[in-house]
Amino acid sequence: MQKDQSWINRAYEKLIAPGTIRFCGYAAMVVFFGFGISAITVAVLLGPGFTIMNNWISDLGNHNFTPVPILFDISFFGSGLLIIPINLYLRKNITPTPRISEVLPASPRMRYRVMGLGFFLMIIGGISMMGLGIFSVDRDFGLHYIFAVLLTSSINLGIILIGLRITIMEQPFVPKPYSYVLGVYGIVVPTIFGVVTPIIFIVLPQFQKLMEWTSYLSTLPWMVTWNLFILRHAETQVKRA
Amino acid sequence: MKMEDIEQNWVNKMYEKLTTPKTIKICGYTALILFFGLFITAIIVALPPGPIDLEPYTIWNNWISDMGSYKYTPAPFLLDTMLIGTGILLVPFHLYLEKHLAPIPRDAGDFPIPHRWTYRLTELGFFLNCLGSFSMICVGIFSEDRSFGLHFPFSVLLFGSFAFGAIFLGLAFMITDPVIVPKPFNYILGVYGVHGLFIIGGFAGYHLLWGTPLEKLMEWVIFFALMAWMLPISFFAMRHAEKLLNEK
Repeated sequence: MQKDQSWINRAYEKLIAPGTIRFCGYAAMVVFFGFGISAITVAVLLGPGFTIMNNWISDLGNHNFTPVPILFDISFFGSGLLIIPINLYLRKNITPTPRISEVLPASPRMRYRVMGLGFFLMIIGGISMMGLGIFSVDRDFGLHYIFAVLLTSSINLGIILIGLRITIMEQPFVPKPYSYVLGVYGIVVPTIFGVVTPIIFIVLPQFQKLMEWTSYLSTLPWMVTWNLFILRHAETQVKRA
Repeated sequence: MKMEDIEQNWVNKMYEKLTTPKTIKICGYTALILFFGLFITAIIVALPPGPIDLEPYTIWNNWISDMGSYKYTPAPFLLDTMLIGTGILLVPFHLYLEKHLAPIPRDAGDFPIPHRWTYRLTELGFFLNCLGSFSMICVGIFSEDRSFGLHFPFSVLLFGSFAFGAIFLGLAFMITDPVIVPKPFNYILGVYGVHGLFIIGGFAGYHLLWGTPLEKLMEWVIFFALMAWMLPISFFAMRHAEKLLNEK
């Protein structure tokens, strides 16, 4: 079992240990909400008139609209970085690939497919979040818009897939009946926004910015609840160990 | 879900039938005949001046899709049939590759299994290839003559998903046990999948994006580059299926 001794494998195992996930989960929420809410408060109170009707989310990272754009950058970069181990943990535990015959039977292949794709999209989402924090509007280099589109599309598609996974297939993270509520929300809300947002962008351009905020805020309840269920799972694993 | 339920449901039975070596052999030969037969015929038919456009069909003055339009050829259905038929016949191939590159262990004899990266890369490659096949079918259905604004997006999706699928599958070929593609061809094919298509796609993508005079020729270049990737894989998959059939 040379594979188990490689440093990459050891680092991976440490990264997805329940203790690490517990830390990452709480830290992600503190960084995201702490810095995010501070960024909005500072922009509204000290900026030249920041509103969700007239400003993009990314304007929080632009020194023309806020005196402290770094708050938004840290919020996005930090939480993007911290959700990567959470998704690795999720991928490993929601549909584990049996390594020894004692843990057979394995799940149906469709579960691996759905979760594999959901995992990939969420990782792209995490990287895009980091990208948005690094390449903010102030230091764009032509990458800010690309990362913004990538973040929105990958997170929304990822949520739809994970929603599908937790609604129609068994999983150890969200107990019934919450799995149905969270799953249906994950399938329906991003789908509706995925259809409505481009239409609003074309038909009602004056509401583009508000629509971006609404679409962004609609994913938050799902993300936070999902994160709490993952933390609950990690907590159980820590107690069991 | 119990193991018996998984084995007995109709989706699984259909999946097992679709991925038997015999099906792969039939699909492989049919796809090759359909693809080359209809494609070469479509080119030959399109070469003389078309019914509306009196310029002869050339690969530097015409898009591939022009072969699916009455403006350039009297028999556009040749390309449409080729695209729809090959797109459908490629699906069992994607399933077969996924099944053998990233096997889900069902009993004790299936261990040891490949590294988790093999599963991740193969899953992504599989998804993108399926998207490529779906786009291929849709390019055939929504040809230039009955586009409804869908021909272009599906064409981009077709090339994009097969090219990105090649990157993931190419990596999977290199790091996993050479089940389907034997050594050292897995490295050659893997390197080509990861780098070759990326370089050719990037170079051709530049011409297509900026609309240079070479854009139409470059579309053909990407097409041939993809063929150079997909044909050997199809042959290796058929060889693998043939081997499994002979073992029985």
